[in-house]
Amino acid sequence: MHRWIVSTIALLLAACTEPASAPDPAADSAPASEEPSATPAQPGLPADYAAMRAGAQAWAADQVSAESAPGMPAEGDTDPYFDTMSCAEPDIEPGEQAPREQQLAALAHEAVLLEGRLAAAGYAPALWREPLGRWETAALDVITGAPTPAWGAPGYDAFEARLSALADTLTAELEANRARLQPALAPIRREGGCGAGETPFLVRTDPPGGKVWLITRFAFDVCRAKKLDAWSTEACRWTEMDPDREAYLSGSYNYQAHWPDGATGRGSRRLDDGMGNFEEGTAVPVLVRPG
Amino acid sequence: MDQYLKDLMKVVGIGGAFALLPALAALAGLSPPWPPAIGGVSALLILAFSLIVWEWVRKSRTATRRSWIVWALILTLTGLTGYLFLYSLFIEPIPGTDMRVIRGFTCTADAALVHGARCPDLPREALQDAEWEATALWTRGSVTAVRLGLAFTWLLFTAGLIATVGAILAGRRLKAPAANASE
Repeated sequence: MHRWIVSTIALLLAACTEPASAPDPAADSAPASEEPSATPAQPGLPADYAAMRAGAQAWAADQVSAESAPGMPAEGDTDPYFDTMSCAEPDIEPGEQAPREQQLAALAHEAVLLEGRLAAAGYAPALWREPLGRWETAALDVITGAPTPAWGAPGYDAFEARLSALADTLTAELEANRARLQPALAPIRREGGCGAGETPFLVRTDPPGGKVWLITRFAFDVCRAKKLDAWSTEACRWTEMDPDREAYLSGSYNYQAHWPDGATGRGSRRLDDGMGNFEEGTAVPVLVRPG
Repeated sequence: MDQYLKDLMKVVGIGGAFALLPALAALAGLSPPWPPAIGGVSALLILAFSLIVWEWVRKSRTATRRSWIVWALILTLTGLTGYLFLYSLFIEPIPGTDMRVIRGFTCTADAALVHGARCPDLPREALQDAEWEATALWTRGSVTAVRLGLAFTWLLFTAGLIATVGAILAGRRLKAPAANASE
């Protein structure tokens, strides 16, 4: 008697639960003779870079397998797209490497991860192999063509801007190829933005070599209200900042810094002024000075 | 086309049209910030209600249908008023972003220690000092209660809305039923 109700509910539930634009292998209009997605490094790469690239394979595979829809935004987003910028952090120890090696390692990880994510998302190698190769070669030229500036050093911003421009070019080429070869798949963009809207900060001392601790103003006030020594890093909830690792911060904080020569610095910082305005994927530097 | 298909198309059309409402509301930033899938839940609720109303009301007498309309309208206005009331009291937008924080109504022991008599109506600066983490300032239970209240009133509003419109439309015929209609 109520067959139309049952069939309607089934029909609509099916429509609601189907992904909006999941990659559709059947819609792949790329040539059928594609090579497998796991690609070897290009010939002619510097030997140390090729080794870094090989070393990044396992890490990238883990990252790709950890994503349910690699490169796609979270379920529920109304505008699915593939983001060429990943939030995965390479397992690199920057403090122990020269700037050139840091940048090469970061590029190797990014290149291998991007290949894996594109392949896992259903994009044909014909779509991404050549643009990816051109981007990698150009980025290598930028990194190795001149002395690589250290983070925060003069020239670093220009260096980073050149790499960013190359990534934008890569994204544009990938998107053009997608529109031509696999129009049914989600568009490719470079959006970035990790975390829940908080801003990534890199908190460091100036001069370098010091240690910085942060505490929220609220936690600081709680300590004071409890008659504790609010500047004690043991009695209160201070967090030591890693100068080489981004911290997602938002709100008002107190800080204290100590340098090996005995200099100290204390103060307050509001660290959400840049929320929503920072350049995507770029950590906002926060320098703490003595005084 | 037999009556079954006509019924089906009508229900799907109405349900589908109203299922767009949560999406439109989400675009306007009206839907509650919690739970994350509130848009999908609203859409499913609307579809279910459109079918229920259709089933109950389509063959009712005009007087019965009108009482459905009145009660559904009351439901809609109650839900909307409650939602806006809770929204105004407990939602705090984070400046410079499209994120919103849901406040609570009972301060934590730490918040009471710091803010004293200002509890539980704490200023925005208190949230900023606590990394915009509501549960640092208000008990998890009170924050959860507000979340549920917002979600419940929102769903009440959407369900009432579809019931109102559904009850109005259910009394109208697309075309006079054929003599050999299947139902």
